[in-house]
Amino acid sequence: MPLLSNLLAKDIPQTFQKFQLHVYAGFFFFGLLGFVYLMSPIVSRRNYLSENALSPGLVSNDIYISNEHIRDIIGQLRTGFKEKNISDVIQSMFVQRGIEAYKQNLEDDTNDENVYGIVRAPRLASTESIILVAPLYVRIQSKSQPIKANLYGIAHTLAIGFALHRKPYMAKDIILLFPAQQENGTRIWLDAYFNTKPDSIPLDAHAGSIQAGLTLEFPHEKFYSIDLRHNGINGQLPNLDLINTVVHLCDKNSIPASYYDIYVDLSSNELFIDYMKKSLRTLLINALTLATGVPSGVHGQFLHYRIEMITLFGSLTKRDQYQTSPITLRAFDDIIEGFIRSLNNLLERFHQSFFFYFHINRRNFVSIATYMVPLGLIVAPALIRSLVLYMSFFTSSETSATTYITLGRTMKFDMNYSAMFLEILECLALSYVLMWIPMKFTYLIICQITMFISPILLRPFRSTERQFDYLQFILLLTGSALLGCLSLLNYSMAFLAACFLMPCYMFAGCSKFDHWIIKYFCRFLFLTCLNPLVFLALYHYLARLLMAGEFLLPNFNQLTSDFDTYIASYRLFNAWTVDVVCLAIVPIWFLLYRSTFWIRTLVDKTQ
Amino acid sequence: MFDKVELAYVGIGLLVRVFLFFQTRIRSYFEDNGEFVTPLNSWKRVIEGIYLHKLNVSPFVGSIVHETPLSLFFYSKLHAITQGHIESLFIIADILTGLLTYKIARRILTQLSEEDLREKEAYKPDSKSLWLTKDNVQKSALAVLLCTMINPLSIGTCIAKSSLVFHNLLLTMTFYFFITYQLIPFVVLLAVTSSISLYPVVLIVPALLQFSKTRTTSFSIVRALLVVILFVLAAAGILYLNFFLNHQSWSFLESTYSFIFHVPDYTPNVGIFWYFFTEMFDHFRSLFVWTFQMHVLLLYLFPFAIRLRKDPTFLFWLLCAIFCTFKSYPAYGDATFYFNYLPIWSFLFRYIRHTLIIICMILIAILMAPITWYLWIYTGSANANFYFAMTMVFNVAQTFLISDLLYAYVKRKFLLRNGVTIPEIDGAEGQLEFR
Repeated sequence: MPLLSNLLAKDIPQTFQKFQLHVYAGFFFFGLLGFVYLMSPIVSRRNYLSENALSPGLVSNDIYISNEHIRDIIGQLRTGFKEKNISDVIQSMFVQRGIEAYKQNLEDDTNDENVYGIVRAPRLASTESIILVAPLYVRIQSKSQPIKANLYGIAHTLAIGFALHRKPYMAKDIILLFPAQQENGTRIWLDAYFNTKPDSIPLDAHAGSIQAGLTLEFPHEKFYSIDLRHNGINGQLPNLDLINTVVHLCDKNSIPASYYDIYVDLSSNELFIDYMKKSLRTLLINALTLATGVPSGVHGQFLHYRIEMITLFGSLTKRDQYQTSPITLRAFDDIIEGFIRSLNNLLERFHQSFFFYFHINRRNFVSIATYMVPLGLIVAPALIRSLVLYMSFFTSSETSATTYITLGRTMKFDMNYSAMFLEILECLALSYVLMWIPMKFTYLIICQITMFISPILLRPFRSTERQFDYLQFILLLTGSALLGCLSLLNYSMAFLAACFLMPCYMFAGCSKFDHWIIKYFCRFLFLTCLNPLVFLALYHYLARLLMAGEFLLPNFNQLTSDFDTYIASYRLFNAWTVDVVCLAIVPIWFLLYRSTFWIRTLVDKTQ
Repeated sequence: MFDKVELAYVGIGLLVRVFLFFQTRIRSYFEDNGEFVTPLNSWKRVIEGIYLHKLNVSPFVGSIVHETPLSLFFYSKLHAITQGHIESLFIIADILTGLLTYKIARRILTQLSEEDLREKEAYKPDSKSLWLTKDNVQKSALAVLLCTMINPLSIGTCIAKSSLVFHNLLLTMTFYFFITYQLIPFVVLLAVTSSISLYPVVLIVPALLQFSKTRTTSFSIVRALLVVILFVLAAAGILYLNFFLNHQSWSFLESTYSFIFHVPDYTPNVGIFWYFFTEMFDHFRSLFVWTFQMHVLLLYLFPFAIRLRKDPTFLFWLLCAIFCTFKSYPAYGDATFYFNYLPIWSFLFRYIRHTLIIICMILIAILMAPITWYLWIYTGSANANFYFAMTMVFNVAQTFLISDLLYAYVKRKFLLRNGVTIPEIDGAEGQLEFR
C-alpha cells in the first residue's frame, strides 16, 4: 500500500504547473461562494426535536398568571429599583411565599448583590435543577441610556417561580437567579456555586445539578417579538434541541422569534429573494459575531459550565405590518412554562442534537458536515501547494535510456535550518510583543509600522529559491494545521482567519516570480489589503453594515471605541480569540511578509 | 569532553526544561494530561505510594500505585534526598538519557560504517552512494542529540514528571550495554526494566543474537543458554528483591504485572487498548486481552528475529518501537524513546515511502488530541470517538513508520549486495512480482 510513495516533481502534470495560480484562486473563490451558498434552502436542514422527552411542554398549559399579579410585582420592583434595595425586595417577596432565597455580595466597592431563590421540587430529593436567570439590568441599543432595569423579565421569572412552587409534577428544582452587573455578577455567582475559585466564598444553598436554563431580558413593558441569542464564549453554542424547544413554543403561541433581530417570515407570503437576503444576513452575522469569542448575553457564562442556555430578549420591533398589539402575557408565560415542563421531563443531559451548527433562520440550520466543506475548499490550496513544494524537493534515481538505478528519493539540496529558524524566532518574538502592550488602536498601528519596516532594520535572511520554498512549505503546513484545529474549536474564527491568510500565502508565494514589479506589488499588497488592521477595519465595517441592514459610512471613531469595549469585555469572559490572533495568526502573516524579501535574485542568476 | 555544538545543544535542552518547570500553568497542564501521564507512571501516584509506605500501609491495597516495590523504594530515597524538590532529578535523568542516546547513536553508526568497510568486497561497487561515511556518522549522531534535547514530547514527559523519564533512562542504559557487549550489566538492567514495565522482556531475543556471536560461529548454543540462564537468575533475583521490599508479600504482583497485562484501567491514553475494551462485552474480554498482548509480545518477535538475525541492533530498536506503540498504557514518553533514535536511520530515509503522510499524521494527532479532549470533557460537544480517532491516527502513523523503516532497512541491505542497477528485461525496467 504505497501511499504517495513516489512523489517527484516530474509527476506533476505540466498543465497543472502552468495553471497553478488559477487553480488556487478558483478553490478560494469557490470556498467563499460555497459559504454564501449555505443559506440556500437546498443545503440547509429544517430543525426538529431530536429528544422526544422534550415534547410534553409543547402540549398543554396548566398555570394561569393574572395581569394584576404581574402588575403588583412590577410595582414592588419599581420601588425597589428606585430606592436601590432591589435585592432586599426580591428576597422578601420570596420569603413571603415560603421560598428560600439568598443574597451574594459581589465583594467589590459597588455593594451590588446577586439574589437567588430555589423552588424545591416537592416530590424528589434535589438531584437535578433548572435555572431561570433575569439580570437586574439589561443592555439595550440606545445611545442615551445604555442599561435599563429588567422589570418585565424579573417580574415574570418571579411569577413563574411562585406559580410552580409546590406543583406536584415538578421533579427538578428551579433556581431563580437575579445577577447584578450582568456578566460580571453571573460569573461571580457561578464561580461561587461551583467553587472553582479558591478564594470565593461558598454559597448558602445549592440545588441539584443544573441541567439547562433560560435567560429572560425584557426591559420594556411590552414587546412585539422575541430575539433569541445563543452565542457563547469562544464560539460555543448550546445544544440545538434546547433552541428548537423554544422556537417550537414560540411558534405554537404565535410569537415571532428572530435571530440578530432578523425575522424571516416562513409563510409563503414572503418573496423568495427576501428570504434569501435575510438568511444570508443571519448566516453572515452569525459567523462574524461568533468569531469574536464574546458571548451575546449572560447565558455564555453558563455554557462554559456545560449548562445549556439561551437568552430571550423582548424586542420592540414589529415583525408584521398587521401586528398591532404587543405579545400577550398569557402567550409569554406559556413559553416559559412549556420550557420548564419540557426540561422537567428530561432524563439525560442534552446530548442528542447538534452542538455545531449555523442558524440561517429560526426553522433552518446548517450542520457541521455541510459547513466544513467551504472551509475545506478555502484551505485546500494550502495543502495542494505544500504537496507540490514537497514533491519538488526530491530527486529520484537518474534513469537514463539504458540503465535503471534505484537510489530512492533524496533531497535535491542541503538545507541550512539554523538561519530559517532564527528568522522564525525573530518573527515570533516581534509578534509576541503584541501580547504585552495594552490593546489600543494607536499602539497596534505603531506595532504594525515596526513590523513593516523590520525587514529594513533587521535584515531578513537572504536565501535561494529552494530555501524560500522550504520555508513556504513549513508555513503552509503550520497554517493549515492551525486552521484545522481552529475549525473544531471556533469555526467562524477559522473561516475568517482562512479568508485572511490564504491570500497572504498566495501573494507571498507570488513574490518568487523573478520580476521586481511583482515583488514590489506583493509587498505593497501586504502593506495595504493584506494588513491585519485593515482586515479588522473591514470586518468591523461589514459587521456594522449587516447589523444595521442599511448602507452606512465607515466610521473610524466607532471602530476604535468598539475595539476598546471588545478588549475590555474579552478579558472578562476568558475568551482566547485575541491570544490566538497574537500568538498564531499574526506571526504567520508576519513571516509571510518577511519572506517576500527573502530571495536573492542576482546571485541566483549567476548560479 | 564535549565540543561546542554538543554543549550548545545540551544547554538548549537544559534551559528549556528549567524554564518550563518554573511555568506553573504549563506544568500543571502537562501533569494532568492523559497523553503524557498514565496510571503506570504518574508521579502523583508515586507520592501517594511513598506516603502510604511511610504510614506502614501497603501501597498496593487500592488501585492507585502501580510501581514495583523496588522502584518505589528507589523513588522514596530520591524523594527523601531532595526533600520533595524532585524536579531537578527529572531534568538530570532526561539530559542523561539524551547524552546516552547520543553515545549509542555514535556507536551504532560507527559499527555500521565499519561493517560497510569490512564487507566492501561483498558489496557491488555501484552501490557506493549507499555506503555510510564518516561525515554521515557525525551529522546523524548530532541530530540524535538535538532531537533528544528539543523534542517537545520528551520535554513534555519531563515537565509532566512522568516516571517514564526514569524508565527510559533504564531502557537506554540497557541499550547502551547491549551495543557495547557488556553481558552482566545488560542482563541485570534488562531484568530491572522488564520488572518495571513487563514488555522489555522481548528484548532477550536480540540479546541472544547479539551475545551468542563468537569469533568462529555466528550463533553458539552454549552462549545463548548462558544468556538465558543469567537473565532468569537476574529476573528471579529482582522478583525476590521486590518480594523482600514489600515486607515479604506478593501483593504487588496484582497491581503491577496483572495491571499491565489485564488492562483494568480505561483512562484514555494514546494507545488503542482503552477504547477497544470499553466497547467490548465482558465475556470476550479475556480472549481479546490475550490476543492484544500476544500481538505486542509474540506476533512480530519471531518473524523479525529470523529476518534480522544478522542485525540485532536494528532488531532491538524495532522491538522497542513495537512495544512502545502497542503496549497497554502507552504515553508520549514511550514514543519519544524510539523517536529520538530516528536520525540514526537517516541513511534509510531515501527508501521511506510515506514520509509526508507520517509527519502529517503525527502532527495532526499531537495537535488535535488536546482539542478533542477539550471538546469531549469540557464543552461536551464532542464525544470519546473524536479523541479515539486521534489516538488511532497516532498509532497508525507509528505503524507506518515502523513498517517503512523495516522495509527500507531490508531493501538497502539487498541493494548493497545486489547493486542498485535494475536489470533490463524485454527493453523495460525490470520489476519484482510477488506471486
